[in-house]
Amino acid sequence: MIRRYPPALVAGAAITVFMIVVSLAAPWLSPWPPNVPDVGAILEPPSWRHPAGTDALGRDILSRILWGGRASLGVAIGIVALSVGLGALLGAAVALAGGWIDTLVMRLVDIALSIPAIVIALALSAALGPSLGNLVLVLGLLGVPFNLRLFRSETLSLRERPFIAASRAMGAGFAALLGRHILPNLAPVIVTFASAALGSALVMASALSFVGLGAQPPTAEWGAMIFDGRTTIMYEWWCAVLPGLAVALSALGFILLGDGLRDWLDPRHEAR
Amino acid sequence: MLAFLFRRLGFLAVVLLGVSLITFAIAHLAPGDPARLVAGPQASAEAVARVRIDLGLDQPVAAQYTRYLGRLVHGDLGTSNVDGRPVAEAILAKAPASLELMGAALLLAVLAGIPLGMLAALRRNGAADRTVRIMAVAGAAIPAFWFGSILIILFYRELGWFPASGRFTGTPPPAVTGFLTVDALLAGDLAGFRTACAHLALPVFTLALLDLGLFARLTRNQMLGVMAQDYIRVARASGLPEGTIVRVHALRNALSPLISVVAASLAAMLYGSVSVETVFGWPGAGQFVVSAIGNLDFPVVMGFAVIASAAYVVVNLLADLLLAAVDPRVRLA
Repeated sequence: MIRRYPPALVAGAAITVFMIVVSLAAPWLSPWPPNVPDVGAILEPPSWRHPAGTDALGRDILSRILWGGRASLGVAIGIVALSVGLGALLGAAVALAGGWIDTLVMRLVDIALSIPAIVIALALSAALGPSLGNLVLVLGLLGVPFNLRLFRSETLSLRERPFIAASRAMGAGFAALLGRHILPNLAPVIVTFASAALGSALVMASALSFVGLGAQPPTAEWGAMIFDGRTTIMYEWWCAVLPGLAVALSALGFILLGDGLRDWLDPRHEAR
Repeated sequence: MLAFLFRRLGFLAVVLLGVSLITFAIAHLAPGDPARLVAGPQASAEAVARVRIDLGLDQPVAAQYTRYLGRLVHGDLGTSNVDGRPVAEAILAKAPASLELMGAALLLAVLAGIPLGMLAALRRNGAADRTVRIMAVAGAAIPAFWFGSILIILFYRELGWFPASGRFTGTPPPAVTGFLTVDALLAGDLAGFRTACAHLALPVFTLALLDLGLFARLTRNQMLGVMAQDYIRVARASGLPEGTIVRVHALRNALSPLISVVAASLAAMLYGSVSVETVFGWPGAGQFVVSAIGNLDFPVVMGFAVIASAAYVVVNLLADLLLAAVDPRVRLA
């Protein structure tokens, strides 16, 4: 039987692909250079010349949104690669190893999850100094405990399946079990969680960028653009509203993609 | 119950120790020589060396940590690099404004989110159910600080219904609790109470958005799960009215897991308050910490992390105890 794709999956995939392609194509699509100020065109409202208006330095907002996508989406992808990737690897390894390693790591995870990560992220990025690389490092590492616990429990149910026992009986070692059997079988769950996590990573990174802990001027990045635009929000609304729209739209795409993938890969969920 | 309490208190101590280790490590990562920062840029090398000994920075790291921990236990979070005020005092002075904002937002999210979620569960695929689904996704996708800006444009600039910044217009009531709404009522100042509420409206709604969707969706899913249970079928078969079944049999079982979620949502709200306070010029701890980040005032940023983490851990402990009190299954686990 051919299963129809859930509408959330189609919509999410369409939005996600669109945002990523448009950001990658920024050098060709941008009508203006993103970082060159123009004193003759300060805070111009949207027009044919500047379809999304200009900011307080006369830079074209549309071009900055397009270029900013590279920074913002790149940061989100980096955060998720680190948090979900490392979390899945460690979670699977810990579940497979079992014994005192499992107990010890899970105690540490319990402690880590009792601490509000975002508050620590704030302090840590302030201490490391603001940069996009530090943002990826901080938010990526702080997301590891949550994903570790998630993928550990996924692996625990996988571990009891007959094919694992069979490979064990055939003499497969720890690394082979992990790399050839556990991780490939976790892949659908990893992809589903990663796409949903991209949405929250994007919103969280832009929120830290908004308080000055992300991109440094003149780098175009959505959170920093909203921050720059907040002082002129009352009248020159386009400076902050349009980059925010880009964040919300991309996050929506990632979240729908994650929901759709979950329904598609695990039809039992659809009932809820 | 007593054993449970002791186990949770022990865990609390371990977590707080973890927080202190993390903040100590972070403070060590901060750029710049703290002795130089304290002594001032013009100080001689000898003066800086003297300050280093005074601050105990010549000691081994382990000794520095015990010293730091000893101070934390006594509520000493250091002094601000900018104005030399004790950090704990400065942050706690800003706390009532933040607590008023967060408390009102949490109240709104709980009081609106739970009924909405129940309505969605009882009328599946109806208008409420669709609203809940949209709100849950929107709450997760829309950055709060951006949503706040949109509300300012709409409700302040276009409609003029609510003020866009600050906590009060006119002379604030005499400080008793630090919550301006409560203080105005205590002073019998109804106009002041209205002003304080009007100032709260937009930031509270902004901050509540994320949790509103979350609580509503969770209530909905919990209700759906509980309503499918056998004991509900038995209640129905015995001819009880649907309203009684929902109120007496379903609600308590559906809502007890929400206690933990509400407490855990405090982490997002702590951070949300930082950006929302910045958008609305709300003079609380969040805005204070953002200006400290801008001024490279690390003691204030670290102090905020310590106080916020400790508050979060304690609130979650209280939530666990509350859950254990209302739900006997938890105590036995």
